[in-house]
Amino acid sequence: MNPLYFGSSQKALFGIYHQPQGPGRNRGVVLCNPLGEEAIRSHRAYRQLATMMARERFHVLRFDYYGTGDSAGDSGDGATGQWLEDIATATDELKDISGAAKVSWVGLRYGATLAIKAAQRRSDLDRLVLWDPVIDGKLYLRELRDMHVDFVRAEFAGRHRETNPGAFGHGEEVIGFPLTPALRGEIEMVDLTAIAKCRAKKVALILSQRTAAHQRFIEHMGTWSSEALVHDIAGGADWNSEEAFSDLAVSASLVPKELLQAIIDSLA
Amino acid sequence: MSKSMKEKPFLFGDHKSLFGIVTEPRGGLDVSQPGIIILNAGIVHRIGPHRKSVKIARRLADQGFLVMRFDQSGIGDSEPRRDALSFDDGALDDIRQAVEHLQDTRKIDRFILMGLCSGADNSYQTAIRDQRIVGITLIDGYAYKTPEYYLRYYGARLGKLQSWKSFTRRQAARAERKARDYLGRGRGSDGNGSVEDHAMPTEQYVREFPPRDEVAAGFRTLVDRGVEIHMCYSAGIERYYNYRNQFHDSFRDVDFRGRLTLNYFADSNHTFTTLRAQRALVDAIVAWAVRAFGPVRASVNAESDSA
Repeated sequence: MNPLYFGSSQKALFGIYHQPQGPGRNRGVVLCNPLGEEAIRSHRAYRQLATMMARERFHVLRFDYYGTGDSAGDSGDGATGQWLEDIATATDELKDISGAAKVSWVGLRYGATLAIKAAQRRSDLDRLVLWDPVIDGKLYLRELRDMHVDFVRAEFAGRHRETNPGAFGHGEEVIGFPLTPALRGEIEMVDLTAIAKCRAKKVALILSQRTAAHQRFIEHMGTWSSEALVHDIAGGADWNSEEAFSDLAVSASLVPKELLQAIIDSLA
Repeated sequence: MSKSMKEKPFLFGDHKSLFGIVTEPRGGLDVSQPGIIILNAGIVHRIGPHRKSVKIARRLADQGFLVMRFDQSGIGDSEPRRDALSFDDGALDDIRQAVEHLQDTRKIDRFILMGLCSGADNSYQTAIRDQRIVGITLIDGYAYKTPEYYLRYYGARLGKLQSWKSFTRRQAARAERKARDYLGRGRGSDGNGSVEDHAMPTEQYVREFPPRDEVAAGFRTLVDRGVEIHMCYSAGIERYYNYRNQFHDSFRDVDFRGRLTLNYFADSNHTFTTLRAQRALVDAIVAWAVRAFGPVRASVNAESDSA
């Protein structure tokens, strides 16, 4: 495990590179984080996934987008355009430090959405693994709003009605993270069923709970020329649990090993 | 991160199994200033709930402090321990290794520890054992109930119609008994080492507090050593802390000799979720650190999280 900062000094990105255990496959994987509280909840699963991938001789880089995690920038600075650039920067960094000729991306939730958007810009992408992707931005915003409202209700008990609702950041924050008007606007525009083609050679969809939006997306994937696979693996983490304490939220986000293995198998 | 600031990630410790990040002080390192170490809150990795530890580290570094945040064994990116130490003892040993890493590599010999919840408990427990600790910020640290706590707790419920229906004579008698027990003992709290009280709402998360007298003795030791003590309490731990001066009332028998700063965040929950609460907490910590150990550097580049 090699921690590093990379990218420009003004927008330094934090990452952890996992070297392959044994002779490398000459293949790399970049892990794309979800946003906000979901990134905290998935940290353990991503570490576990990276460790398993390194055991299977992949070069792996997990990293934080600008304005998130340990990377530079304030939490309100992040935006989709910047994060798409960050995925590209991370991919170039992984190729540089590992010498891997082929790079694949794995993205969770909004990280999967960013990955498929970033994939429109690159021709050297091998595999794309979309784990519980956000398909419909408007629906996702509703989920985030509900999650925040439920959290505030649980945390502040009766007080949230007695005080100005604006004091709890409704509409402008999601459980401790800013939702700027610019970011809200970008998320609102997301519709993965409108993406005409995918430049990755193979796309895998890993679903811990299939929704109607996922079903529409699966049908849409059939119009792409990329080879597409779908794995339903029940019992996955609850990324939107209403647990008030972060410890419990992290505990609720434990991911079955079968799901992580399915992601790795998708890269084979 | 402000333009001139640098952060460095590294593995450290007896087995190079612990992971941390140092935020370099703006304007260069002054080894006469204490280094600051931010501890994990529960099992959330080093960025802290809502990324608060990153914000605190960068704001303090802007003021000239060297700040380290790290993952204790088995949390975040640190490996699990290889020995049989308990979780609590293991945490204290991890903190020792963090202190010694900065001492060895940066030649700093005084340290401030800070943390939320379990991070507060570990900060206190390390401080009473380690002479190198000269300051602590305990966020929602140990708390002990007082008569006023019970009056407020039950008073708030008596004021609600629903509570009238469920407020049984048995509960009222219990509250009265608590107050009488307190008066009988003539000290600042109920002396109960556990935060759980069966008359209170049951919570899934249970923290065990040491007996109040033991903690009072610990604070006296810290004050005798000249340790600066910063207590921060949120309004989100109503089950054991529910008014601004409860800490003062709990420890009336301790003479803090001007070394205590108490901040109460009446609009915040336990993890300081809203951005407004986060700013208030970070501002309070920076103000305390600069007042107690500064002036280090001029104030610049405040974190500007806003919607």
